[in-house]
Amino acid sequence: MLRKILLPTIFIILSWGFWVSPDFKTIAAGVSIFLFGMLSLEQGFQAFAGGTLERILNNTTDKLWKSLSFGVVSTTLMQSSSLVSVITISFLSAGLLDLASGVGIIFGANIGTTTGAWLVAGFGLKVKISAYAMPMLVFGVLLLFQNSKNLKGIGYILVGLGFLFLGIHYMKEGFDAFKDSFDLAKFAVAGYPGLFLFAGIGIAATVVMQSSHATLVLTITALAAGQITYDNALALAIGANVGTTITAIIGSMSANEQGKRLAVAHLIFNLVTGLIAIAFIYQMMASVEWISAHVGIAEDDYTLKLAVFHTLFNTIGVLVMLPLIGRLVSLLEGLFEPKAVLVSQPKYLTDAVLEFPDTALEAVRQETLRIWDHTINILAGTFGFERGQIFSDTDLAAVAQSQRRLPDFDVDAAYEQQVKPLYSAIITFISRAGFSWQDDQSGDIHWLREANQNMVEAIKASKHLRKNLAAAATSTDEDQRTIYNNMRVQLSLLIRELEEIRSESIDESPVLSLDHLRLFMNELCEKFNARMASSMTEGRMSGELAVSLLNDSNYAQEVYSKLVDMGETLFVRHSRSLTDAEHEVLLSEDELLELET
Amino acid sequence: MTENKLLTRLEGYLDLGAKRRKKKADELKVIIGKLKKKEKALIAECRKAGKRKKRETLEKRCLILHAQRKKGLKALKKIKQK
Repeated sequence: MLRKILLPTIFIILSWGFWVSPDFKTIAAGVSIFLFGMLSLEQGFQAFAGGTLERILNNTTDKLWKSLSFGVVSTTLMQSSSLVSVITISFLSAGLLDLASGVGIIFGANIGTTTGAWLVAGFGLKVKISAYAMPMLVFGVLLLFQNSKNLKGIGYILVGLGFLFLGIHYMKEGFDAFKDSFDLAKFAVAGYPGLFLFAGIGIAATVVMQSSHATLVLTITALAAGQITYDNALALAIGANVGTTITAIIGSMSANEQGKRLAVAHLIFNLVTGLIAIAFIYQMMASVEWISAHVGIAEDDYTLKLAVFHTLFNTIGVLVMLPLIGRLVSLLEGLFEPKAVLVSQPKYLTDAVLEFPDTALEAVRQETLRIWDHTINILAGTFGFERGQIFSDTDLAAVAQSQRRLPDFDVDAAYEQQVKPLYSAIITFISRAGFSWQDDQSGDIHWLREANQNMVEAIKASKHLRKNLAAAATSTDEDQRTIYNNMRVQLSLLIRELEEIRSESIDESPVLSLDHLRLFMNELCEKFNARMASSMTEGRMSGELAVSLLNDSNYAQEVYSKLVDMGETLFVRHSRSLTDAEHEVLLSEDELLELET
Repeated sequence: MTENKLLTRLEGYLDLGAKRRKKKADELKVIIGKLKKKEKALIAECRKAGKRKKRETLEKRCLILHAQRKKGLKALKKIKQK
């Protein structure tokens, strides 16, 4: 409802403003060009988000100081704390970052964003900035017409920077002309009421423009033109800082609980920082004066002083909040607990990760691992063991022998509740990804889809087995009991071994350990056939039972081979090229048979 | 530099296949090294193994690692021949 009214209202106010004042039109056009520049810049950086950006983010955020520095550097380079926070939310949603690192990046981004004020105050207002904008736009547009994705990305970045500079130029011109006809400074409000009023205006302006940068540039240019007082400019800067969290909040709406936690952390940080700045405004102003005097900023250079103030209060905010990061994280974890549901819900496949191919790929991998986790539960239940028994040194053969009946387990219901929703979510997610996967990424997606299919087929085959496994457990025919028990024990041992392979370190090339499992399966089949033949020859097995056993042995083989195939795909996490080399040395069926003989 | 030498060098720069082959050869070398290390460790474990069944399982694993390594060496030789 609010949205429906808001947009027409803004349109009407702006139209009225354009009609009343041509200078206001210039300022508004400047803001629009500036915002368009930011969009181009974001698009440019997203062209590199097909791996590089994510890889850097992934490698540089394992420690708090690293994530803090990452936040500072990336925001300085991209000149957009919003883009950094949205990417961070997508990373967090994909499970690639922990909350503390994410909060670290957001804190860093708040310091990084202050460089924008320095650039505009120190460079943008003193140099004829539009002179730089023109060549940037020309070169940028030329690059936009290139086929190469990277050149196009650079083109977007150049065009973005060009528009940013051009936007600043128009805002400056607009305010310069504006001051001759209309004096906004007359509306200045002194003291704390003014502080709160202008902080509120700063919040509103940033929410509307969705960019604290734009608000800050507008503030600095207005201050330079003498249209607002220094005190009110400080309040606007504080407001812009609080208002900027709106982008993160919008971004987190489609994210999971981790993303929401980060957005709230961002809001808490900026609110606390804003409140500190307002509460100690006069002490901070004195500090700004002192710093300015020491670094050689002129007495009347209020734009640079605003940049000092912006940096100072964000730094103080980080210093105050940094020791509280642990508490903040546990508070947020308590605030947004994952919903406990009977039916599995995808945890990593959120809209927030859809924009970046590598992140989306990692999200699919994480979700596939969750399906593997559920598959273990289902198979353990189907084979009549507890998960804990499979993953300990328990002698499963002894457990199976002691069981006089299999514990009740509904394979179908477990599949419908735990695996099917996730599997269908993965398939939908992959088809929804708007970007075109690169060759290696699409190869990985294909493998992951196959891994999921393998798990589903293994569950289906195990379902067929279950009926006779349960019947055999209660049977008085000792031969039948032993054969079926052996079948479920071997399949459970396979799960145990697969989990061991999964936890092997990357250096050990886990995928290579899978060949012995294949060889073992062939041996098991041979032993099984030999045992059946001898039982039939000795008249200990009826033809009916033999047929059942042959069918079930096929199902067991299917479960076995599907799980090994799944392991080959899912447990390979390191560099794609090395995996190709590993696949090269894996033995084929024929080679394995040759080894057996 | 003679013309022939220059042409050979130029061919080297332009031959992307050669670059790819070199990369693949390097990766194979890494894998072969790992397999050798694994094989050695398994042989040592095999010697220590007391139970016959365990020893047999380990021996089979050794056999597989050996076959994988041989396959890798063969692939490496093929690449080098190209």
